[in-house]
Amino acid sequence: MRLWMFLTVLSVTVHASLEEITRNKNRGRGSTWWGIAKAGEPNNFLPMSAGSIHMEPVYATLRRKQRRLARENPGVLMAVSRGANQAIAECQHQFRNRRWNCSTKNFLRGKNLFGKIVDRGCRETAFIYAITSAAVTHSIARACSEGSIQSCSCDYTHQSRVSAAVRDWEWGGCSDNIGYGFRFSREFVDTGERGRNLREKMNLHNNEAGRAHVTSEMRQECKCHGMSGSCTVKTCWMRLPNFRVVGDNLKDRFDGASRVMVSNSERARVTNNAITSNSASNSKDLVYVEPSPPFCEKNPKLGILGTHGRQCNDTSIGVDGCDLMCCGRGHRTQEVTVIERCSCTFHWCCEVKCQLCRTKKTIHTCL
Amino acid sequence: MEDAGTTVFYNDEDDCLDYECLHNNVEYDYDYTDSEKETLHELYQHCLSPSLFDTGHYILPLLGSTILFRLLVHTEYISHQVFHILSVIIGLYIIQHYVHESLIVLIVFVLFSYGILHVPERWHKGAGIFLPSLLIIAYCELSMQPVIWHRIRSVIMTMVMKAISVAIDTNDSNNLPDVYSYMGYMFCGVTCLFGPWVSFRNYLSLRYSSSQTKWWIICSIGFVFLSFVFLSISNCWTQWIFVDNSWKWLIAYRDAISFRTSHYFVSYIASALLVLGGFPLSSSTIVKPLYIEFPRSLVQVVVFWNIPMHHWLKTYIFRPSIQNLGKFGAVIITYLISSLLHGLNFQLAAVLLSLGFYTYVEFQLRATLADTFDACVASKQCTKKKCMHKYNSYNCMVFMTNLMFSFGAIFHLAYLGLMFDTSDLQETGYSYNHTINKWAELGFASHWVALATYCIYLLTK
Repeated sequence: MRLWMFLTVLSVTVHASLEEITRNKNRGRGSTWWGIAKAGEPNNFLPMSAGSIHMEPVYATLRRKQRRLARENPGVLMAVSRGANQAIAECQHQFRNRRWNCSTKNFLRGKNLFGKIVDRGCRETAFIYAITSAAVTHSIARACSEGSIQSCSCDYTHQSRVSAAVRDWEWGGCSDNIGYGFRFSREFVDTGERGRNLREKMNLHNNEAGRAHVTSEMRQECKCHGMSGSCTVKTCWMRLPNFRVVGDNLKDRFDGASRVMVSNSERARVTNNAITSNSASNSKDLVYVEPSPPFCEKNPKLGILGTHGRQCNDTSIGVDGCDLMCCGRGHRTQEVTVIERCSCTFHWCCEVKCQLCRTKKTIHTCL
Repeated sequence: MEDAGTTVFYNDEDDCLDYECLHNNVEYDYDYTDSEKETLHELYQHCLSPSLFDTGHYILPLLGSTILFRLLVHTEYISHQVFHILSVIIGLYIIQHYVHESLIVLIVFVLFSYGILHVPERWHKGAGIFLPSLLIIAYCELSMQPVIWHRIRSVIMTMVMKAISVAIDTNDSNNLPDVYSYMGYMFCGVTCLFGPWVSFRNYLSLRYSSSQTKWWIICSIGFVFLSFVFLSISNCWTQWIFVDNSWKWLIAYRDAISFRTSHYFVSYIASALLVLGGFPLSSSTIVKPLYIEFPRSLVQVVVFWNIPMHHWLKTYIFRPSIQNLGKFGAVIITYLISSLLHGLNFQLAAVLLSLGFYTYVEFQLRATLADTFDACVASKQCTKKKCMHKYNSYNCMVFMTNLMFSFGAIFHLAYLGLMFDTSDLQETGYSYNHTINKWAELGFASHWVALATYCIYLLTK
């Protein structure tokens, strides 16, 4: 009897650990929450009933801790969902002219929103992790100051007037609760990345880098007032970063991302730029562990669509140019008529009226 | 155990090899344009509320002591000496509270300048009038930290202007003011922080005349309200309306308008204080925003930018020097003195000297045009009764010409004002490189335009 039980336990653990190995080999596991971006969109699997909270289908993709967080902080899921959408939009904007264009899959339950490219620890994956984490931080902080998350309110930690003498100006308004957004993002996004292996370390680092970009862009701006440009009175306010700025910065880091190599001692070592991975200077850098696969040809194993049928720019010599985009396969040029709005006029007040015009456009598509 | 729920969903990933499945990779047109711009609520929370409330909090002691000053003015039974002493005490409190770094320097300066008044003129031949002022500016510029100097500059400037005006008046009339009224005038709490310069006579006549209207309280509240409107424009609305990635001239216009509205804010606060402190309404107008935002000419901008300062420069610098130096020389010396008063700062000097040149050229060219075509196109609007020109302002061509000069002035103002931005340099004074870089970004366009105007003027002369 005891032996039988022991065997069962053994088989279960072996099975589990085997599964763990296969999964850990290639997958960042804390990433299924991205599906929340599609919350509210109808999908084939779960027809929505009108009464049920429309977050219900995505609830299943969340991990236990994430569900708890969502339960304890009402309103937070909407913000995360908004953040995820923002991340996707920004990613697609940043990569609109590259071979990999940050395409997302139609939401299928449990599947990875960005497709199997995430299984590889390449630059693109690093960017995805960073931008999603940044977007959640941004969106939560915003929702906080809007008051749509009940468990957080205006953060008054910045308010510390020294004395009645207001010589040095102190911040007195409602700071955008960037601290709450940061902490929440760390709890929510980093769930499941325990930092045990290199890939999980990479994910954690990139998540953290994304958040660091948001906080560093969130800044207090001040303006001097006084007769003829002197600084007798100084007033300050907060400037919310435009998410586009965060996206631009992350794209810059993407271009200069560092590859982390595994040495024999299992310690992370950054070959590029020779900077250690935990120094303050590169906490905003993106790191990756594998080279990017070629994105030219269709590769279903990696979820790569290839650049067949993509539009390109025949005058550009950059990545969006037809030579590079089509990987030398050549391109097809066709003329299409596009209907677009034109000759818009402003009518007092306040309406813009446009006509619909047919214009001929030449588009180039990769073969 | 935590993974139990999610494991299930990983299994079906690999069977998605067929065409159908790949075609599900539709690109979604994610739309989040709403996050491009702050909402009004956010604008209120991030910018309007901190700016307005903190500034209100900041100026409360100033308002309080001004009301106290007003009570003193209207208290009949205290003697003049006591009044002046109390005025000094209020002023010293204001200085100690807001710009305590300058307290010692100012006391030394006021005593020194009063001492100089006693030195007979034949010993220094008029130059001594400017000596204490030059010394204090040089001392502050060279020995103080830039941040502190930049903060107290306007206070020192107002004091220097007061001292020079008294010195020149004394020189002309040989009538020395007594020490109490001199000290009371110099440290007058109403004008010592934000200015403006008021004449000694105005200060003395506070006690004698009751020329203020009954509506003084409404007026001062109105001025405070207007100043806060301008503050909100300067801090928040300009940044909100023109986003950072607009066209570069639009950005220039935005930064310039932000600087101008900041000036209106300070000027209106000063106006409110003047009215509150008992000064007559007629001498309390410092700035006329409408004449600056929609200028007829640059000359008009310069005049209405700071009316008391303009009056001071005209009375004490321009008119005395016009006999010796001629018109062009007098204009240049006026702008030089003005930039000297503003401290030895390259950016301000460059802006002021550019303005001096622009206004001179504009004034001359328009005067020539007005003469030649007998039309009302001069820099100053000719009054309806006195207009001797054949074509008045309602003539189409005259109107168009004036409009063109107006747009020219707006363009010049955007170019000159854009450098007073919110970069880190604003607390220490803007550097040479900052100025040149900002102008180079716009290709020195306004200077070229001014040069072209000058050439046209030379041709038409």
